[in-house]
Amino acid sequence: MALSQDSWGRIIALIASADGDIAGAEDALSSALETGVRVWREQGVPANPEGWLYRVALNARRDVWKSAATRTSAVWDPEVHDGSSDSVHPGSALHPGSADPPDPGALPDRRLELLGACAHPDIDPPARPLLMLSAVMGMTGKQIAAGMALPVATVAARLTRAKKRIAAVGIGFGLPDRSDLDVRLPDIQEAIYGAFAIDWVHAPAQPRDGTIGETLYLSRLLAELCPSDGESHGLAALVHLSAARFPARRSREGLFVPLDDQDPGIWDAVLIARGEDHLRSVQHSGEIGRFGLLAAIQILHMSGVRRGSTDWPMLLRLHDDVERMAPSLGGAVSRAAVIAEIDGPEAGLAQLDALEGSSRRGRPPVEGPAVSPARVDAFQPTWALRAHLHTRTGHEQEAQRAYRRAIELTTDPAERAYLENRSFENRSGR
Amino acid sequence: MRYSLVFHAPELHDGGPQPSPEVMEEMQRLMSDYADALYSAGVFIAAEMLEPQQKTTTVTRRGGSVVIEDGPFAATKEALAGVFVIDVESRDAALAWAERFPGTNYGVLEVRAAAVSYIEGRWVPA
Repeated sequence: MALSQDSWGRIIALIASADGDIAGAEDALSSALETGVRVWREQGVPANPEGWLYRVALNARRDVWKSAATRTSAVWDPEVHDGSSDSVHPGSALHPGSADPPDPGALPDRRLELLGACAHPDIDPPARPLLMLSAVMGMTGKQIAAGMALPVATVAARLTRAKKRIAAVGIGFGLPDRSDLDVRLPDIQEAIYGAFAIDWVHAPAQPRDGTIGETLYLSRLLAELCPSDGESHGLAALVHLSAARFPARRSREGLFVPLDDQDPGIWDAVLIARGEDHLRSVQHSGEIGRFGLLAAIQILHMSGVRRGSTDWPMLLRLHDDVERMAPSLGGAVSRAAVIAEIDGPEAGLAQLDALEGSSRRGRPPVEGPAVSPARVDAFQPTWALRAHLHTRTGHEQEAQRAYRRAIELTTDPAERAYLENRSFENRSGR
Repeated sequence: MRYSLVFHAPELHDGGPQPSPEVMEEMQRLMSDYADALYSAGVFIAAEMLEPQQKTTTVTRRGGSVVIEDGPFAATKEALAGVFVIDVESRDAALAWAERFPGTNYGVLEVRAAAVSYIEGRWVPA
């Protein structure tokens, strides 16, 4: 029995919004699914299977709520209680009721509240993407672990802790205030991005291939739930455009292929089209944020590769905006690469020197405690770019030094092999 | 430059919670992928995952005469669980590898530079 991708999150959001108990709602829906498979095999699938599942899961939760209320509000009376529990709720879990169960699709969509609960400030940021994949997407701990390359036990422990926390601090999402949710939007976007990519201290962020389908869906869902929010569309555009290039990132031999050398023919045209749609919505919203800018940078690079000529000055303006809005080390290094394309490799190198120098003098070029001179010096992309630019200026020794440093900081075997090849070509003057 | 990635983790106890065979198998696979990556990058020297510290024998002559005792020197909740020795050019490279160590999901990794190493029959200062 395949529950549509929409239904799981819709039903969980409806049920859990009553008491904030996501784990309870998930258990109830899982057993409803098991029951459904059994019952429908004998009786046939009902006209509205999702409504049926919703009703069965909700009844199971109501039984729990009622018994909890009984335990806390009434004195145990054997006359009344003993043996009567069956007659109070006669197997209600198996009888959704004679009336047609409502289609969860026809009920209010509480998934934005659910996303907001998953990204609540009281939840550890690394646990937020895991929660979303579980509560909204219906992935099991095992699936999430496999998708995010984390140990199963780690995922299980983080999910349990986070769900307990939501239930305990009463992160209810009943009667939501829309403005509360608007405040939560950046955290929701960050968490979805966290499901998409993992940030390393010493290397560029890397996409998590294993959960890519689910992340694409979450980003579309958020844009759908907040159609006028520019950044939600920006995030969706960024995730779709990045994912579109996945098939081209590795050669047939498994070698790393940088963007400039990729074959645009292998890019996923459907994902690109969706990304472009979301970018248009960013424009319509009249509001562009970090994700929207990053998506615009992606599309400019991609059309540059496709056409064989890139609009570097436009790219620089976008990078300047990102730097002002959300400064980061990765962003500063990318900006130096763009400057090298416009003003030549020396200008790019000077930019990198300035990045290191100014942070060494205690004035970080990039705000935030994360960027210390040591951090700039230990960041692999800095050295990969240095090596590339020194090669272009013909400074073989500096290039070799930079290649060595870049290779030493690279833990990914494919990228390491790529840098080793480039370094060899530089050495042999090719 | 040799670095030791010294791994500390909670120890399992009889009667305490035990990881399932699947969990163990998965961690072994992640560790094996990690060791393969170190090996293919040419930085691998040695990796030892250790038996629980109850199976340790402690030897000392600090008090003058030789004392050999079963059991660890100091029992703590988290114990030395393993050591990866790698040969990389810098502390940053050692840290880049440490970031990827799968065990950090349940334990703590200390990155320590070697002061002096015994390599092929002689002591080599760092």
